[in-house]
Amino acid sequence: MPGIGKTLKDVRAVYGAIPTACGVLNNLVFPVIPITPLLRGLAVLILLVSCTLAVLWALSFSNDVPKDPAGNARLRKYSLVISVFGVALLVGYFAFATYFNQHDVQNLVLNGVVDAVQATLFASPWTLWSASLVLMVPRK
Amino acid sequence: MMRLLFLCIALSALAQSLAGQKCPVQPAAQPFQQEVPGPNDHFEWYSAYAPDPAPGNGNDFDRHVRNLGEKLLKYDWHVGRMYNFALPAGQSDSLCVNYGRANSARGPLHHGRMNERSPTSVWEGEDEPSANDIISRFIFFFSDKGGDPEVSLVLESSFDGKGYSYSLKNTSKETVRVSWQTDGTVDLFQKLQKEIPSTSVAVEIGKRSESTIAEQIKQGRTIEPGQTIPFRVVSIAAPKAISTNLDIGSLDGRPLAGAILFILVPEH
Repeated sequence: MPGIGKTLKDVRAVYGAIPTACGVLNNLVFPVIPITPLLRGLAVLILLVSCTLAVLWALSFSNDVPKDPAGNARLRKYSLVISVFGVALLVGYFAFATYFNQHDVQNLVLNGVVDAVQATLFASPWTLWSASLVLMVPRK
Repeated sequence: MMRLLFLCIALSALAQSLAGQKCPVQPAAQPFQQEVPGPNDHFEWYSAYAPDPAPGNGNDFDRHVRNLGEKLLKYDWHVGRMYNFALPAGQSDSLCVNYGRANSARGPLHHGRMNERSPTSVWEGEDEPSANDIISRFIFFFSDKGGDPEVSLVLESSFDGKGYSYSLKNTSKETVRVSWQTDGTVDLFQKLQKEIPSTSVAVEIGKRSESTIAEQIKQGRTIEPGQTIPFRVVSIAAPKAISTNLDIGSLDGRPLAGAILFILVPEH
């Protein structure tokens, strides 16, 4: 992986920040993915860290792929697959949160684990979409 | 003779149980309350106030959230200034605050894992100290392997004309970790050993992350059952009230519940 400073200078990092910003905004106004206010702070923390790592990974990965039409096509394919995984995790979030909203967790430790998983699942679609967007943008 | 002895013991126990406990109150005005029979959570919220029995000591504000469902209730009540990560079924968290003139406010009570919310109204004190003594009592329950232990904490602050006295007492049978802060960063356990913060305000319920609260609790104090943590600071300045965050966690630092409680500090 190239240096973080050099990697972040890549203009494509800005595109990766779009889903991150949407995720943070969603957490503030929660129109897309609802989450209890008690877990919002943790969710945003995981979101920011994971999206930053995802953008760095995507930039690094795309720099390793040859800059030719075949390489670009390959990246677009990866981007599409990652986006679909993001949608699947979004569905997974709703299924998980809905299930544990309706069913009881009588153990306090398990309740904390469920909280952490929910916050991570909240962040994961935005994380994947950040990486996906970076991979999709044509390289110069 | 034996009957008389039993009567004396019973009266003594009753007197002890009532000492320092002014809630529930006989409402001075129509209480705000509602049962929320939601599809996922079933609970009741309640808010009332009544004049304090001691003349000139303002009003006692009584709030509670009762879990009427059959599973843990996760709630975050901004205007009620209470939260609980996991209130056991059948239990009721209560906050009893002694404060000034009564005012009403509206706001949502968030509950569950998603963003479900119910509109609520509460009776609350206006921003002025009513007297030279504020007593707040916060009782909550949490789920545990051996049952649903009750935690009860009483925070008292008073001004006697020469100085300010504070005491935080654990009146329950549980040992807990407690973080007591204001302004989000000012640790009152440390600050009150040297001086009194003059201008501070509690962080609104829900404005801090679970990890932030957990970190604050780890840096807080452990309070044993029956233990009182006292502070005394000399100052003759007139009192005013500030709000503080009292967050309580398990011994391993896991956040359980919390509330915003008021204390008296010098105005200047």
